[in-house]
Amino acid sequence: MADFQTSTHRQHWILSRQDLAQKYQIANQRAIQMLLKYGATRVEVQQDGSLVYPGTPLETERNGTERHTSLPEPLTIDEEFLIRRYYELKIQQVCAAFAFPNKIQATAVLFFKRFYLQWSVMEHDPKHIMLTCIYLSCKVEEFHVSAEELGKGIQQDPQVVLKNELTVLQGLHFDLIVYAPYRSLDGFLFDMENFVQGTNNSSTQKLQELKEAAKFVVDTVILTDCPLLFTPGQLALAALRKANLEERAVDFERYLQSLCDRHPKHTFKELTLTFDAIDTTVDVSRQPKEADLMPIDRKLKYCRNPGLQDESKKRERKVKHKSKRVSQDTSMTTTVDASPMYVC
Amino acid sequence: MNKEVSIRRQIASLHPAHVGAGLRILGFTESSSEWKLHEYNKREDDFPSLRAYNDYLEEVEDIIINLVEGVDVQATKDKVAKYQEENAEQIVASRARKAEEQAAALRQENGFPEIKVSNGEQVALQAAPSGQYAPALLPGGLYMQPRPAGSGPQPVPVGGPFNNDSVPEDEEARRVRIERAARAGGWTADIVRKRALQEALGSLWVN
Repeated sequence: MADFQTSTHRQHWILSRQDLAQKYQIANQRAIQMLLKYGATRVEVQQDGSLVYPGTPLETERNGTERHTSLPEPLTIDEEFLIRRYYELKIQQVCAAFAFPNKIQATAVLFFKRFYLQWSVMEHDPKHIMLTCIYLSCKVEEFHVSAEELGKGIQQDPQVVLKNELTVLQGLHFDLIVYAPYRSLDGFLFDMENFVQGTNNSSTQKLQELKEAAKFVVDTVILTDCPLLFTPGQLALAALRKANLEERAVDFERYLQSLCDRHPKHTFKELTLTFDAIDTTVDVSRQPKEADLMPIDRKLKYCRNPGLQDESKKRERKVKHKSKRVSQDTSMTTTVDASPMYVC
Repeated sequence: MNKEVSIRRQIASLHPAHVGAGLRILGFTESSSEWKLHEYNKREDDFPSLRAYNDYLEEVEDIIINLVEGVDVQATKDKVAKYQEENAEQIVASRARKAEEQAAALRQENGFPEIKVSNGEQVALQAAPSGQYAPALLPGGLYMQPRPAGSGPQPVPVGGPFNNDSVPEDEEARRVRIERAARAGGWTADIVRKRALQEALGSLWVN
């Protein structure tokens, strides 16, 4: 059966902060290099599943100098983080819209996070990867929906999902079992019931409320970097502690103490430090606003496809000329056709 | 194509043996063409040899092709009418035979539901056609007797105690039923607790 101690989740996917930062850095650098080399960062999936950078190498461009000046700006690591965060929230919303069980959105978000440890956001389109992650997570969590159903539900092309499936699996190194904090949460609550019954007659009602509140906290924790840094048990307890601050259902300190007494492997102090770290991470991270994301998204589009940048520049020029035209029509000058740029 | 189909139907009403045999080769049962049986029946065993039977079939195909293509339509129709007359007696005899077979099959089919009722008492009362297994005689037992297969085209599916909605199910009964079903599979509520607890305590530490 599923045992965390022997799982790949524990072996490969719990990292330290330095490791995390390093991986993001590597992916980002690689994408920037590709941008300089090929002019575009996007990676395309071929028929046989191999990945290719389709942009043309800049040295062979005829108007090479022009290209250099209009090279799109790559995303910084922080911007990448914001984009990722936005799409992770989107995953949660999509899963809620489909009324999937809770664990599916957790698994999908984790897949998404893990995938973007290997690859940069500029290289694979986050929207496609998001859909593929949801699809895969449904498969893994034994709640299969066909790609067509998924496509119909959100009006997206199911072929995109199927094309990217293998890429995502490879990006995850085929480590597909994910431990979400929800079951650990239930486990700790059961334990808490026994503990509480021993001391006073706090009603089960209060514990139920605590459970619901803690689930909300877990949802927000999942959106941060924490699942890659801490184990699900720690996340669950931290969420319980945070929820308890408001609900006041149980004396958390005493419960933690009794837990540590029963399992002497963990010390009270270490656990508290961990929970503090988790809390600070959660408090510090914020959900990006739509307005902030618009410029980043545009940048991303240009990185992936610099052709769009030139097109939009042309369009801007057209618009400017049109507005000039309109204003000049009122006067009788004949300078209208002065611009030779309508060579599309 | 539709024209050919309708012509084949008409011919089949006259020459249903052809349809039946063709379908037999394809593995269909004759039940689909039963309703087409009007006139007469000629089967393989009616013919002295395989060659003769094949000749007959070829004749039928010729007729059909002629009618479909509109070649010599009148002559073909005359041929068909003549054939009908010649074999009128045959038609009647074969038809009777076919009807008899059908009735026998239906009887056997109907024989099943009487015995397969899941109500234990009825099973016990129905004393014996031979071949009953002992468990089937237990009152209150839900066993169905296994019968040798192939004696009827299809066994009638019987759903168990809730087949007829004589007792309207409310929420409570439904929940009880689901829980009973889960427990029959070895599940207990305790398993959920144990698993959650194991995962919680096991995943608290990396090292």
